[in-house]
Amino acid sequence: MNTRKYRLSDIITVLGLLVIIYGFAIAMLLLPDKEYSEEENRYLQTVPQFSLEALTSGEFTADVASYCTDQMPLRNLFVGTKAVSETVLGKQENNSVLLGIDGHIIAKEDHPNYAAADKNLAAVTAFDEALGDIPLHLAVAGRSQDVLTSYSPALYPAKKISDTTFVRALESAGDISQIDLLTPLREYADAGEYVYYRTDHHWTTLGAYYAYREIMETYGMEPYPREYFTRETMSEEFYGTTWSKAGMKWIRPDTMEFFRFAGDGTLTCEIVGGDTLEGMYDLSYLEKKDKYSAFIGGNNARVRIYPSDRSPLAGERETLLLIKDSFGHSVAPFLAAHFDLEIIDLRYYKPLVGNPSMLELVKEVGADHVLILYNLDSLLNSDNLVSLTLGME
Amino acid sequence: MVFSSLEFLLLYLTVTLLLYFIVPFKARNIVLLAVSLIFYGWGEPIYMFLMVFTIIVDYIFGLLVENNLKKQNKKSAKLCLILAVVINLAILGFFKYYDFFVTNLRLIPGLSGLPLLGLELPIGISFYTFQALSYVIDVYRLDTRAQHNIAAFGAYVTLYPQLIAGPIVRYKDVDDQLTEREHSIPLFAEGTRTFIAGMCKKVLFANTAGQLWEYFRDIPADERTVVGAWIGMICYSFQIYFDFSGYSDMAIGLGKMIGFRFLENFNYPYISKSITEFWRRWHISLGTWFREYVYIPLGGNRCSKLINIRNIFVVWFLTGFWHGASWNYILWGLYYFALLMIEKLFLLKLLERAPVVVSRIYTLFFVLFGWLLFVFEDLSAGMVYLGSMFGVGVVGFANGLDVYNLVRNLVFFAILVLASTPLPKKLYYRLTEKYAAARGIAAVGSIAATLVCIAYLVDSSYNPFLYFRF
Repeated sequence: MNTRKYRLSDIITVLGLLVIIYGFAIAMLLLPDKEYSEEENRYLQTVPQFSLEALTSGEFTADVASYCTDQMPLRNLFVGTKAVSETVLGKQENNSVLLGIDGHIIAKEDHPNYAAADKNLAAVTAFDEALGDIPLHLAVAGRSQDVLTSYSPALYPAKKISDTTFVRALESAGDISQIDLLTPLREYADAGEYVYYRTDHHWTTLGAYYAYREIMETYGMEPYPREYFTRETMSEEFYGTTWSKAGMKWIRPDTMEFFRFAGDGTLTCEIVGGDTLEGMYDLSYLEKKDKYSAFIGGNNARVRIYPSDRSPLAGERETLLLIKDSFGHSVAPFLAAHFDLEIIDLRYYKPLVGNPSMLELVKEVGADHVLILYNLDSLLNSDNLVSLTLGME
Repeated sequence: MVFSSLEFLLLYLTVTLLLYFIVPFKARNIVLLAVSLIFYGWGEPIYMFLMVFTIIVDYIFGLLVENNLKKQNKKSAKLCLILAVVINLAILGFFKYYDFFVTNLRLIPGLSGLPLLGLELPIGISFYTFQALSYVIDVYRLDTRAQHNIAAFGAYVTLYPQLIAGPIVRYKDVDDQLTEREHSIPLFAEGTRTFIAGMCKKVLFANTAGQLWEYFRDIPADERTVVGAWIGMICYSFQIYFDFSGYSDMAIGLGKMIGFRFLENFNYPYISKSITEFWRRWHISLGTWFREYVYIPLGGNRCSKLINIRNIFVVWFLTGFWHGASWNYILWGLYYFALLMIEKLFLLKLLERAPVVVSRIYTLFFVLFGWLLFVFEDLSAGMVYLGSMFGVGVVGFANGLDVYNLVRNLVFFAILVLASTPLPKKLYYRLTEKYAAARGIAAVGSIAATLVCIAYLVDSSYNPFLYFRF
């Protein structure tokens, strides 16, 4: 070893690197493993089990890599640091989330692929024909990037991209009766109304109310006015999925409301194959990060909503079959004021696998209306509407 | 495992450095060999046997060549050399090029039934095969002595810092260092700085530019714009430079930490004023290798003009083919052969007299199109992209999205341009040699840079699922 006096800067440099790599390595190994990440909504990799088989298949080394990234101490702080760094560089977005104005963060997709949308709409058309006299409506809700166009960063051509996407995505909708949920909600948003969450991809309960109004008007029925409902603030600490994705920790949380009405607590919300809720809300979710799942108990294959003093299908009210993604969750309570609801989520409901086909289901529940309520993102990025036609000739 | 990953930094590097420095000097080559073999076998453990085989074969042939030369047995020595070259190239040929040859042979009627193997490419095989070859050839040429210590030799072949992506270290450049090398805090600090600089190039510059490139590449052809296609290709040019040179820097830095001094592999290629100069600055160790072990043995330029042109052709054909088992790489190599011939004939003289701006733009322009050939293994997709750059089938010259993307990346692009020139390094040396404060700021800056790199690495694995129950 050299005996001359060392430069302090050299020592800082060397120690800096060593303290970082050894410090994080030791902390990672000593700290107990986290099994689940609420932020990311997924299970994390815990200490991988070694076996010769796992080693030769490459599974072990892949798991070690995931272990290091998943169990990295201060993981969320690092994710936030990257978002700060990108913002300081003026990138105006991080992880494909736009840093909009007034605390809005907006997930974006500039060049979607339309193959799934075309497949979905072909299936809806075939299903519509098979339904005969039972009316079917398709209501496509905008994504945040479609509705919150006036809140996107300067120079981002939000409206142009959104309009192009909508027109192209619905190109093969043909004769399907549609309910336009984009134009009215964008107008409300432009007027400054709080119709979509700032940190989540869903609409707010107010946005859902406006959607309900459009649906009822299409049906030629009278929607209840706003004053009919009592607005209750359920949480002022709602950090949505966009917030998780963006890593922009400085963005303030959203407020979540319920629109209550007389007698809504006497409705039964039966999760088929699961619990039954008295009333239409699962309040336990309000304690968790995934607060939006409080509406009708979150993502489930099949849910039935009907007055609790009688069995479903008793025939006093019309039955509406709601085929929806999660945008439907917050609309369902409004519709339940008028209809008995049969709610199907085709991401989880698998026709013909111990379940009736969709056409059989329509007959079984005696549906008077069929409403397909999807947001544009689901229409574009998943072809699950194809299972509408499973079991059809 | 790549250097720019958390498992390398937190698990591999920590354990490796600890083992390396707690054992006495004599045992360090054995530690180095052992940890390098683990590094090599990490992705595909079975290939460790292949590596051990290569080490043993080249070790034995090195000794045989030396012995025969000592006994004045030139013919046997040459035979050993040829055998060693054939075995090494056969392994490389089999693992890297088998499927390529078969795919092309299948086009011949009657041979369409030849089976494909779909072998996983052993990591770094193109690099360490060339290193092993340089060893046997140098021993034959008496440029170096054979290495009698198999641990030292094994450490040379597998040396984990340059195993994956070079630089290609010639045996004679590290011969002495294998048996005696300096371990010191100043050298370790220098290595740390080089490593962190390389990590920044790879993680902060290359990966981010790469995401932009993929964004522009993935735009459907009928939605592209001319400006967008150009920005995309420029992003790829930045990505490949910072990726490759960053990786070389990390290798050089890691080498210094354990006492090795490797030669520089990149010397600011994007400031070149001709293609000829570009290739003196880009992937220097590969160019050197081909010059010493292919070009000069073929006769170099001390022969007739025609033979000289043939030699240049062979070198560039091989350079292209070395980069990958696909026609586009061969085409890319021949593209440079054509450009270099044109420069040799008359253009170089003109460029020397032209204004610097002109010669630099000329160079970057042709390098950019080189990368277009390089990046698209599917040549027809490459041609469509080339069309987009010149307005064929595009939606327009530019659109609002291009303006948005350009403006929001202005600072990033400015940093990339600056980092492609020697200015930051010059400034760094000027300031740190003069002022202790600058050295202090640089030291703290290197710590901050490491943490930011980790932030980007963590974020790249950060994957929120909206509906994980799918």
